[in-house]
Amino acid sequence: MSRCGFIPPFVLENLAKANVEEARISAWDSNQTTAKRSAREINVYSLVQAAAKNPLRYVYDCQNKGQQRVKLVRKEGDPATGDQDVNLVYDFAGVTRDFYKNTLKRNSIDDNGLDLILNVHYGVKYMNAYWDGDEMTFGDGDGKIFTAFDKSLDVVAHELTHGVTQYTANLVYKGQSGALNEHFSDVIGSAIQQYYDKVTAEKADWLIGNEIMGPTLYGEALRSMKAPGTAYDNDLLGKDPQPDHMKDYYNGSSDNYGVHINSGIPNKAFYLVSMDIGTDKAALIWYEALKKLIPTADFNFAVKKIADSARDLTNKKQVPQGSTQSVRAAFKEVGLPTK
Amino acid sequence: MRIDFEREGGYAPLQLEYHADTDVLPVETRDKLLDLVKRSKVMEIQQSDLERSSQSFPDAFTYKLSITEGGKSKSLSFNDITVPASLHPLLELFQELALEQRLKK
Repeated sequence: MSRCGFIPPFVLENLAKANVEEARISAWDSNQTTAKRSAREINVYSLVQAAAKNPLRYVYDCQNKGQQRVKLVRKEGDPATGDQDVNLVYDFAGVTRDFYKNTLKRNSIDDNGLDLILNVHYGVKYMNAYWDGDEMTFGDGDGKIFTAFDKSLDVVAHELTHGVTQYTANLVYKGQSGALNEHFSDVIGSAIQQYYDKVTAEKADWLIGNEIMGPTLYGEALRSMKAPGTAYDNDLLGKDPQPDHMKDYYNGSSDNYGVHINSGIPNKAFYLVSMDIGTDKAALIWYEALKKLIPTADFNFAVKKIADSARDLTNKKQVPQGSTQSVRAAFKEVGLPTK
Repeated sequence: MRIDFEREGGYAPLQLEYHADTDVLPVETRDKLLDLVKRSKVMEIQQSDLERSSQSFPDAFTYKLSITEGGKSKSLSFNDITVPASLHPLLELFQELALEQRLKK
């Protein structure tokens, strides 16, 4: 079947008018037009409608079924409900949307006002959150090891940023490009957390996922951008395997060839740059670089594009003098680029 | 019945595995497991029905499940997006059993 087979010609025309052709192709190339979502062709129409509007939030309660969009419980402008998870995910998605708009000048996931679809209470004791190409889904955890994943702003921002990555670099979720995919989500997640908490790079804890740890693992975190490899060490999770230097690069096949493991290397570089020029400026450099990457980008390619972005933004006086040198020094400290 | 289950990936790095021969399980666990295997109709699911399972979605869990019973064997791999709805109760039980096993060690 040709690509055009699914989508009526007028929709394509409207997409082209709305300058979202790249996004559509990107989305298609990520194979999100699966059998499951072909039933949701409505999203394509939403994309067209979104061309000139603000992104709206839709929160669905999955009612502990392994199914998305079971019941719409809060949409944009609705008052708070009696469900804390619904309200938190609504608020955190709003904070993330506003950060992208105000700080990074991006209008939602696709930069065209795509609505934000959020699913909470997915599955039974489901210990995860994910982006599926269209929407975000959050589990409740078991209440012992993990609490609900929507209780953390950096988790919500992380998942939403997977959507932004899909509509920009569309990084292949495997190996180094997959680790970069995870890295950019951690970068923006941390930047938004600090923006929300009004803390500087020096005062921030640089931990990812510490807010969702249940009583069993309280005090632990899932990742540390400041000190990769130190976020946790316990009988349940084992020891944090993230390297902070290329010499300790993980070469195994687990976790899609280490997407959540090797992301520690560029994460550390981002931390170092943030300490030098501030997290907001560093995030701007990284975001501009994300838009220049290709789906199969490796670490070396990303380092080059991040340094290029630092130079461009320095020239435009949007980041401090010395930012380019800071980026290069930070990556050198983690062993990048490799020869 | 021989069961081998593995789960990896996910936003949180809690990789799980559960391996069991139902003949040596406590009666209550065995009965619950066999009942869910039957109700899930897992032995009738074809890997080709899950052909999108080779695709990776950010932070989604990936699962590998093998069941051998009376000379018949079934091996499936899938993820949170491609998982058949009928398997959810079984996956929930595997998570519970795998965690129980890990906490006992």
